[in-house]
Amino acid sequence: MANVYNWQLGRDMNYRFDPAAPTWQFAAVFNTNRCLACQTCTMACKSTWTFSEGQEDMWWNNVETKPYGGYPRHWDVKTLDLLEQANPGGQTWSEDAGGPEAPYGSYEGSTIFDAGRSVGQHALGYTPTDEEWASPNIHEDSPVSQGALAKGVTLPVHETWFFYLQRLCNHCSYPACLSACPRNAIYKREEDGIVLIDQERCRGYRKCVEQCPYKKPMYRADSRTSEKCIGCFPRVEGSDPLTEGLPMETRCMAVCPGQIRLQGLVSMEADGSWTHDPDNPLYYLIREEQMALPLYPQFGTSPNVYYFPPRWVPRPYLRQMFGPGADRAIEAYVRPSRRAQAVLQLFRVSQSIIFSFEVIDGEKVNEINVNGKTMEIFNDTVIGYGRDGQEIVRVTVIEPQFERPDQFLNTI
Amino acid sequence: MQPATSTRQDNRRLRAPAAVLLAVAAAVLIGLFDVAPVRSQIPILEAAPTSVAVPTDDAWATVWNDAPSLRVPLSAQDIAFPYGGGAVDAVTVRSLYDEERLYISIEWADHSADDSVSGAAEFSDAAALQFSADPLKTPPYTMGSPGAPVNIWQWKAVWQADAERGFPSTTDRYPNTHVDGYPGEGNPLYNPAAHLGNPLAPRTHASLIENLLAEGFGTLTSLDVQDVEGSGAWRNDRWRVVFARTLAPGIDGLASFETHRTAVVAFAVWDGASGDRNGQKSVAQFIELDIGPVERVAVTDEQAQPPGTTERGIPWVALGLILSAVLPLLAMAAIVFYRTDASDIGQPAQRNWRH
Ligand code: SF4
Ligand code: SF4
Repeated sequence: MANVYNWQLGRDMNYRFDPAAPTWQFAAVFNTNRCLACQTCTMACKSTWTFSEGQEDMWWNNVETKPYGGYPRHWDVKTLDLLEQANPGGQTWSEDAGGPEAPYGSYEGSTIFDAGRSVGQHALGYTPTDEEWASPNIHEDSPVSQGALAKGVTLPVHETWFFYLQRLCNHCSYPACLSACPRNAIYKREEDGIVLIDQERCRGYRKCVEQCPYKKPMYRADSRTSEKCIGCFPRVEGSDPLTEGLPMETRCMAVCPGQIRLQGLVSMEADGSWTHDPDNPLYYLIREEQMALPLYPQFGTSPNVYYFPPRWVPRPYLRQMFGPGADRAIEAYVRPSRRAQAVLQLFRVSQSIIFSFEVIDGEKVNEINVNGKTMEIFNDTVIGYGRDGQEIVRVTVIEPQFERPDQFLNTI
Repeated sequence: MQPATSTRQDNRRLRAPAAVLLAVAAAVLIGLFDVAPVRSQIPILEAAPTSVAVPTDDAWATVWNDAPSLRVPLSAQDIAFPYGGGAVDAVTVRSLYDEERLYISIEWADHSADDSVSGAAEFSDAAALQFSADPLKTPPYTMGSPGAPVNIWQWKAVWQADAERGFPSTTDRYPNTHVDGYPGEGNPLYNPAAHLGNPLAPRTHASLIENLLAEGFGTLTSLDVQDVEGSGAWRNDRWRVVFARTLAPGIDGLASFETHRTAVVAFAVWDGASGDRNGQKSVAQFIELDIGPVERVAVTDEQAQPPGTTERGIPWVALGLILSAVLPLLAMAAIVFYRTDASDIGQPAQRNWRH
């Protein structure tokens, strides 16, 4: 058992292995406020990786309606409950943010790794049943408190609410799946932090299924092994001809019509901290603006998919799901800084992974009032650069509009 | 005999001083009466010769009725992650041999035959025999150790069911499933485990017994040579499984069996209904397996011991005395060591592997 630093928790924690940070870490930002639940991401993944016999109930990417939906059913509530049973009432945070390495404060409760010790395991967990895996989109669009529908809802918090949560493997920095495997058949890649199950070594023990709190390794009865999201590693490696050798975003990211997803790689230091890189759009949104937050950071795996919390949802729910940074993240999102306004334009404008950006000042085009505060809008231009430093994309804050000339009316 | 395994920590505290006292008492007695060294207190399973054919596809064949049997207590595996087992408290073992082969049967009570792994949370009943893969050594019964390998034969109820009922398809598992078709059906790329030669993935099995090698926790590896035959059957709330292999000296990680020689054998049983798999199993330590009557010889040669292994054929009492004094301490140290991180023995986990 090693002692590792988890910046999302602002403290050291127990983990089975010593830190072994990759040089780059797969990461993504999802804007829950914009998701349509069209499931295009889900189907893109399915049609790429999990269309074979034995994978029928396997959805490496899924979008579930919160708070009632879940794939597998109740995955998060069950793990939260196990933590509560292991350490009743103890899952609290001290909210004094402690600088860049403890931006959300310090978690005082039990992680799944802490709690795992009490049951003689590397992490606390449970194995979902077939029934729980069977309905990936159960409770779609089911809101809380329908009574308020008659009178309507208003911000900042809706009385009747639901939202969509987009989920895939978090390619965690401290993967619970990896530490759970008694055969060490799971590994985290040095070059991009993608976590894979070695299909040659796996013997279907399903300890990863049991101990991943996000329930993203899944058992395949057809091969009698567990499989999981592979982070579209051939694309991330740049082996798709389209990007001519440059790293490319995963299938689920690239197809998103709601333009809610931005995925890339962040540079890591040997000690597991993130290289200071404020021109990387992911670093900027996650570490500088703190607009995007990890999902259930208290589990302790240091997940690498980050979410803009849905702005209309009651805050206690969001604080439980995204940690104490939720209020600040919503504030940063609803009244974004000038620079953030530009970076938000980079979502889904390129399949190539954007490694850095630059903003060129434009004219002020508007001034609006947000929650009693003024927000100025500038038509700045943001340029995205690839791994080779070459420009990939250039977009403006105000989307250009074109008027169709008369001769093209009613044509496609 | 300390019945196979069962070393709970609370008891151990009392056992340590007791063992030291016993060792001292034994030394005094031996010194006084010059008692000839006996081999050991390890129980012995004697394989009986048979001239009747022993079927490997009928574990309950009548030929076993007169075979001598030995009851071996099992206990939960509590040495290494992921700890567990304990649902099966004993096995009854028997052994026969003929001119060509050695046969071992293992029998235990289990009120459910768990022979499907189709469900996400379904696990199979299974049983395994463990031998030393080096005839000169008795490896740690905990899956061997580096340099002291073990040869393991594992029978799985699910492989038995595959052979009897066929490998379940999706529609066998979920009869109301409708699937239009599978793109790329039959393309091995879409079943990577099978494509990579994972021994668990094929739909048919050359033998119902998997022949494996291990050198410590987390190192279990299926061998190229799959020459162990056998089968199991569940009757009246009991499983019985028969294993058979040619009598031959061991080579390349295979156990050595020769008539009028002794081998060591340990046992493990998994109860699928209890979620047993991997190290979550009920286990017994090594016992001796005499293949026919064995003349036990006293050997005087004393050699340095590789850690965790026992060289066979050295004065057992002398060694026993030293070990009984030192073992309780070693055991405590081992428990502390193993509990800290036993399962880390094996492959480094965070590494850069590519296919
Ligand atoms: S494709 Fe995008 S908008 Fe559609 S469900 Fe997935 S994340 Fe949401
Ligand atoms: S989300 Fe689960 S499966 Fe993915 S890396 Fe983290 S612990 Fe492993």
